[in-house]
Order: sequence, then structure tokens, then C-alpha cells
Amino acid sequence: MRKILYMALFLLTWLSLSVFPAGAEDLPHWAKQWKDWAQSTGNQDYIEWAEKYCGPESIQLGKEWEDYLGYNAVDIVAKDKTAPSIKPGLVITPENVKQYEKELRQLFPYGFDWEVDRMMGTGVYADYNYSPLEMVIVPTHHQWNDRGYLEASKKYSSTCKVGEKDALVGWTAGLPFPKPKTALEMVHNYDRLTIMGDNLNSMPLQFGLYGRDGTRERVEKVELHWRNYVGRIKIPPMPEIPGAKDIYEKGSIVATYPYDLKGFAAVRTRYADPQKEDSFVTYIPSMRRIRRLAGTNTQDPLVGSDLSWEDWKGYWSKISIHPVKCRLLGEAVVLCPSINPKPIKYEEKYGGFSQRYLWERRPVWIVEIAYEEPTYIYGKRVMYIDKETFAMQQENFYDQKGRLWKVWDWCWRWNPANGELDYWNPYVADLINRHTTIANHHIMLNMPNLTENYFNLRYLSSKAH
Amino acid sequence: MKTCKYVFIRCLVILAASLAFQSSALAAEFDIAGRPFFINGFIMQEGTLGVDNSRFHGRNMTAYSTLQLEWEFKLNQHISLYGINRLFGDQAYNLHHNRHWYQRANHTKAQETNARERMEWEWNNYDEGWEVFREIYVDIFTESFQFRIGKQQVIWGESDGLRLMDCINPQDLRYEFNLRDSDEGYEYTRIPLWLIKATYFPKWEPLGIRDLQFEFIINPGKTKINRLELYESEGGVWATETPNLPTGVRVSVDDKTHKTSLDKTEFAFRIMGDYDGWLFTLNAYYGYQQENTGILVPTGPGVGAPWDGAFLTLNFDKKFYHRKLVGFTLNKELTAIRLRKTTSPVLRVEALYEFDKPFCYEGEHVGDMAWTGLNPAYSQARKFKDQIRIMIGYDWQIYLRFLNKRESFFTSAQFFLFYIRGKNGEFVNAPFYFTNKVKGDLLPPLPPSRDRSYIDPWRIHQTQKYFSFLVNTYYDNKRIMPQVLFLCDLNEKAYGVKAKLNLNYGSHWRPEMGVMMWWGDHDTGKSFGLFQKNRQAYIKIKYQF
Repeated sequence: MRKILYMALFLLTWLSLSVFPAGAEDLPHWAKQWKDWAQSTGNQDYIEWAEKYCGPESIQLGKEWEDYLGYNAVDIVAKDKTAPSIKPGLVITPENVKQYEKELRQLFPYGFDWEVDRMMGTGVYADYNYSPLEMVIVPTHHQWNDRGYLEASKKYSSTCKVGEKDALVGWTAGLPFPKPKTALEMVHNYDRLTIMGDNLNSMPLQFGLYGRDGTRERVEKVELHWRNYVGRIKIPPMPEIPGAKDIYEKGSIVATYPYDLKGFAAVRTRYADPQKEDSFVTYIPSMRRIRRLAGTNTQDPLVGSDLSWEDWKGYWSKISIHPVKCRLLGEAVVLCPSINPKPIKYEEKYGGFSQRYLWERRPVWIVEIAYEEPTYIYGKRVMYIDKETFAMQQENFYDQKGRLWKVWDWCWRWNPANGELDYWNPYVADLINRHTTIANHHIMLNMPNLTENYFNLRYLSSKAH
Repeated sequence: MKTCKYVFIRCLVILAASLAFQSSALAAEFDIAGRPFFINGFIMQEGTLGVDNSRFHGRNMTAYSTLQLEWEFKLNQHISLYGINRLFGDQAYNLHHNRHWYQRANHTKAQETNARERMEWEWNNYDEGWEVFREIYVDIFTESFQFRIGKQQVIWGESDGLRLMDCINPQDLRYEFNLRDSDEGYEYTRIPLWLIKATYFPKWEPLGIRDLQFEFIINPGKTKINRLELYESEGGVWATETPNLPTGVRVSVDDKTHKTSLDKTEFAFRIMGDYDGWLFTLNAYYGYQQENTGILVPTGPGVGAPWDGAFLTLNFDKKFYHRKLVGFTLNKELTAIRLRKTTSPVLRVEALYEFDKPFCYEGEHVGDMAWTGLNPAYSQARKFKDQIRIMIGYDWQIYLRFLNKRESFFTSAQFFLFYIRGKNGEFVNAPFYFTNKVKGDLLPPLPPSRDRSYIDPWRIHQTQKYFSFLVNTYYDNKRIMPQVLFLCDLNEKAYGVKAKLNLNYGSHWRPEMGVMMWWGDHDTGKSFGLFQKNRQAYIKIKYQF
């Protein structure tokens, strides 16, 4: 009888822990500090977000990632005393940025203080203050990636190594180097996170193109689909699609606007063989033909934007084809776009097309990727890579003469309950040609019905008129 | 019927205007009975100025106006209806017909100047208004099939410019010819046909072939031919000129176009797939010849027409025989070749074997053709020979950073080779036969004269060779695109150049300006020499919505 009673008590305890939300007093400190801050603001958006962030599944997954990595961002940031005035709750705008300039620049080391110039219209943005920004500072999150990545990393990372021509060898799924020691390993990590899931739709992906006078000059819209064929983490079949082991991933697009782009459709295939070039098959509406274009042509801008295929998701370069020297410049706590529970706010403000999104301090690795080919479009890139999610946060592109050419940031959408992470709005400014691209994504991740029919000639045939 | 047509056209214009000027200025998407209906299109005005030619030098040659609406109505996930409505015409006659220079430029031996009035809208005298429905078809998707039924274009092949396997739809060449939209895939000049197209997508991958598909096309008897007016009979600047003939002699050609009939059914079949990066097609076609430089069959001489001063007419029927061909295309990126470690060329190959292709036969020697027109019993006017046509080309995006830091230069070269098997005697492209010199004589040189100063037809060589080269690039975030296209007929030493500049500022306005030039033997209308009279500078202003 006593045994049964003990058993019942144990079951009850287990049930209450796993089913009912954790009480505030039981929350880990990284969750509690966010929740307390949200309550203190009285802002309903923050409070709702904190509830989600502090849900039992979220806490469980957060703890597992913390245990696996051995650290969390909140603790790392807490030790950093840089720029004490930049505190949660502060909203920095082009109107008050002057007051915080000095401290802000400290939070954008290694040449990323263009974010400050962007708001002030100084430095590289002199006479080019056309992407004004409102930075809403929030507390640091302990962030984590998808549960699938965690499990796959635990299972498969031990077999991974860097091979000939710096290629990744022995990878099956997940992060190849969850505890990276070199910049090259960090680059491979981000490369293999691909789209942060097994597949993706962005319906539509809209490119807003802004000229040097700050007005939106063009809008281009495409429908985007992406699918991983190996390294799959949560949508069966896993870890690879049978019969397609030679393919890393495929992406397809169809342009829907404006008229002169409409109907252009393409399927891009990236092969697992590090020496094999991408396949790029297109439907060209003016010719009404399915035609292969050069998969090797990865350096031309996509449509009229400031992005090339090499820049897709910030970095999509094959280092076995375009050899690089990767260097870890350092580690730092920096200011990065944060998780944004609501869509980004765009409005005509401050004489330009202003964006407002959340920012937080993040621990990052600063990685330099220097290209060895003098004919490559860039001389080097420098990235902030997040130490928790392994995702690229901000990026600087330098031309072959060493001039800062393009800059990149984006903010994230995140489901803490399962770790699904995707991006809202890549912001890319070409500082030499004075042109800006803001991509507005409408992403859905990990859909069970995104089949091969979106990634083959049949797809192109179905889009052909 | 006529009233309905004009009501419909007015509706189109009003709809286009309202779409173009709506405040969002984006393509429109409506709900009709809870189902999505998409519509967009453009309005375009073009103008050309004659350059370095005798008749229109410094004057406006053509004034094309286009209004095009493209729409799609999705009934459900499996069925959709697609259409293109187009109003297209040349307003030059309306603009200039009272002007002396225009009347002089358009007046020819065969035609009065007001013939160009017929070019005002493209549906005149031909398709009785259906041209307004440029395309209209229904798409039906199932798990393994796609059916497309209706008036449509089907484009085969890998060649740009010269059409080899692109044989399903004919072309309307009355307004535009080889350089006009050849660099844009003949989108504006191809004539859509009423077709049934079925595509089967099997799930299997035999021999490692991926993306296999089988395409079957039927034209159930409503065949058409290329439209190119001989002897300026509709007066357009793109019509061929009256050939050189002795004083008082003229040629009359009667188009024997097909009548709609089930026994005129055309068939086409294609297999497409990808084998280890080789994108390939295997093609077969059984239908009718479409080329206007086809076969002239003599029907005997007649008396002349008093209005053009002729006393003798040489009558011909233009006949269109069967066309039977098989062929293949290949498309592969040659990654083993890299320019300065950047990009690789993409190989394009297209080859076909045509059975029993008809040719105008001149006899053992040049010199008989003029007299065949007097003899309806002449049975040697045509020969049927097999012909091989091959195109080998590449597309290569090359970085020249000192000229363009951001973008590559797209280069595309093609070499064409046509070979007639078992050719004996002389084959010619009718009807250009005599030189200018013959005009001053009462009679042409009599057989067996081989006087080249009089007789110099556009011969069809056993091996014909052509070459094309295209280069373009973009500046200013793809807002400026310069392009040059060069064409060369290596047999006739004739050349064509189209140089243009596209400006893509904003989402709506798309101006384009350029020049089109030809060099060749204009005297007897050889190859590009046929169009030397049309050297021109042009400008297009397009507003898309």
C-alpha cells in the first residue's frame, strides 16, 4: 500500500513538473530575469513573449542546450560591463543617438559601428542616412537552436573533421562542431545549419530596393522554397532522403512581381561533393524555355538586389571552390538584433524608411573569412557568429581593395518551445554604390508536405506559360 | 460580331488603364467566386527612325502600339485558366499618311501607299478578332500529368535567334523580323496555335536519369504558316520588296494556306530529362512547313496588271509541304573549364534531321528559274532532300572587373551549320533572282545565259554556316543594361547588329533604345541584305503594371 502511495506521489510530482508551467520561483535565472523585466515594463507584447519563453518546454530545451554547450549567454553577458547606459528599456533613435554614441560604438567592435553611423548619418553613412533605425534594447535571452540540431549534434558530431581543401568530412546531421575551436569550424557550423530546418517556404519573399535618396525605388517579389536532402533533423525521412545522398539541398524560386521578372523560375541544387558545382536550371519567361544557367555564377547580384548567391542567408559559399583563410579575430559581447516576437515595423520616419526592432547584448565569435582568389568578388568578410545559436548575426563585406563595401544585419523569429529559428528581414546596404536591400521574409519552416515536386523540372514546367 | 469585338477591346483598354493607375500600382489580385484571379500587363509605344537607307532616312518608319494583359484564374489546386489579351498595331499610317515623304516612301510598284492602313491592328483580314485573345488555355494538373488545352505557344530547342527545333508555332513577321525580338525569344512574334499538350511525369529514374518527362502535342488540324508579306503587298516596312524584274514583268504569288481540317493534324513528341548534369531532350515532329521562303510552284504566265505598268505576270502558288524531323538538345555546364577560377561556360547543342525538306530547284545551273514561271508543266521546280541542322553554342558569364565591378558580362556565342544531304544542282531562295541591272531591260538574259551581272540569286548552299554573338551586362543594380547582338551569315558575308540600352528604374517604366543595322547584298536580297532597307534607330517606352 505504501509502495503504491509513493508511486502515486512520484507520478503526481512528475506530472506537475512536466505538464504545468513552471512557477516563477522555479525558473532558471536566465528566464526569470527576462520575465521580471517584461512584467516591470507593463508592455503586453513583452509579457506575452515572456510567457512563451518561460513555458515548460522552452525551459526544458533551454536547459538541455545549456548543459550540452556548457554556458548560457545571460551569464556571459552579465560579466561584461561595457557601456552601462545601454540598458533594457532604452529606445535609441536617430534623435537621441548622439547621447549614446560613444558607448554604442563600444558595443559594435571590429568595424561594426556602421550601425551607429546608420542612425547618425556619419562615417560610411555620411549623406546616406537612408535606413534609419529605432533600436529597442531588451534583456539578453539565453537562446537555443532546434531540438533536432541538439539531438543530431550529440549523435553525429564526433565523426566530423576538416579534410582536404578545408572541406567538411564525416558529417551526417546537426552541428559538425558544437564546441568549435577554430574559425573554420565556426564557418562550417553555420554552413550546415543551412536554413535552420529541414525545409522552408517564404511566400512571398519581398525585396525592397532603396536608392541613394532613401526612397523605395523598386519592389520585387518571389516565392521561395528550400529543402534539405541530407542532414535532416525533424521531418522524415531522416537523416537523408533515400536516393538523394549526393544532394545537400535544393532551392526553388518563382518571381511574381514586377511584370518583367514575373514567371522567372529556377531550381538550384547544391551537391554534397565539395568539388561539384551547383546545378542551376531555370525557366526564362521571355524565351519560354527551361534552360540551364551557370551554377558557377554565384557572384552576380540576385535580381536588382545587393545580394548574390554567395550571400544567400549571409554566407553560402563553397570554400572548397573559393578557398579562404579563416581567422578568429576574437570573442566579445556585442549588440545584436534580438528575437522579435512581432513582425518588424516599417514606417516613413526620420526622412527615410525606418525600421524598429529589438536589440540585445550577445556573446559572439568574430570570424574573418579572407578570400585567396584575387578574382573573387570580395576580399574578405567579417562576421559576428552567435555563441548559442551558431548563427551569423551581422556581417561586413570588404572589396579586394579592403574597402568596406556591404553591411548586413537581420533579426530573428524564434519558437523557444522547439527552438525553431528563422529570420525576418535581412538588411543589406551597399555603401559604395549607395544602395540598400531590405528583404521581407514570410517564412514557414519544416512543413511535411513540401515535396520533391517543388524542386524539379516538373516544378519549372508547371510554372511555364 | 464586329460590335462585340470593339466593345471587348474598349473594355480591355479601360481595364488596363484602371490597373495601371490604381494607387498601389502593383499587379492586381482579385477574388472571383472565392477563387484567386491575377492580372497584370503593360502598355508600350515604340517608334523607329530610318537610318542610312534611301526611303525612310531620318523619318519615322513604324509606330507600334501594344496593350497586353496577362491573367490567370485558379479554379482550384488542379485547374487554372490562363490568358493573354493583346492589342497590337502599327500607327504609322494614321500619323503620316497625309505627308508627302510617307507616300513616296511607301509607294511601290506592287502597292499603293494606303496599303499600310491594313497594318493598323494585327487582327485585320486574318483571324477575325481572335488575335485579341493572343493566348487562352486551361491547365489541368494531376499527380503524374499536366494537360494544357487551348491557344498557346510551345517552344522547343536551345538556339537563340535562328529557330531550329522551335518548329511548333509559326511567326508573324509582318511587323518585326529577325533582330526585332530574337534576343528576347520571339515572344512578340510567335503565332500561338490551338493545341493540346500533355506532359507525363513518371516517378522512376531509369539509368540514373532524373526529372524525366514525356510531352505529347497535337494540333488538331488548325495549322498556320509564317506571315511575311511578299512584295510589300501589305506595305509594311518588313515586307519583302518587289524583286528585280525586266520592264513590264511582275510576279504574283498566291498563298496556299491550309484550311482547318482533321487530316491536317500535326503531332509532336518530346522526352526531357537530366542525366548527370546533362539536361537533354529528344524530339520528333510531324507537321507542315511554315517558312515563307518556301516553295513557289509555277502556275503559268498571265497578262499584266495595268495599274503597275506590267504586261506580263508570272504566277506562282506558294505551297507548304509536310515537315518531318527528329532531333535532340543538350545543355551542360562545363565546370572543368573556368575563367580565372570564376565561372564556367554552359554548353548548348541542338541538332535535327529533317526528312524530305522541299527546296526551290534551279536546275543544274543557275539560269532557268525565270522561265519556269512561264511553264506550269515544269516539274522540276522543287526537290526534296534530307537536311541536318546543328547549333553548338555556349553561354558564359565573364567577369571583367575593370569594366564592371559588380556584375559579369553575359556572353553567348552560337555557330550554326546546315547541311543538305545528296544535293545536286542549284537550290535557291525564291524569288530574288535578277540584279538591279535587269530593270532597265525589256527582257532578262535568255538561256543559256549565265551572266552574273544579271543573274545572281540567293543560293542555298549544301553547307550553310551562321554565327551569332551576344554580350550584355548590368550597371547600377540592374537598372541599366547595355547589350549588343551580332549575327553573321558566313556564306553570304552578310551581317546584322542590334545594340540596345534598357533602363529599369522603378517597378513600372521600362524604356529601351537601340539601333538595328544590316549589311548584305541588297541588290538581290541575299540573307540580311534583304533587310538593309530597314536600318533603324528605335525607342520603346513601356509601362508595366
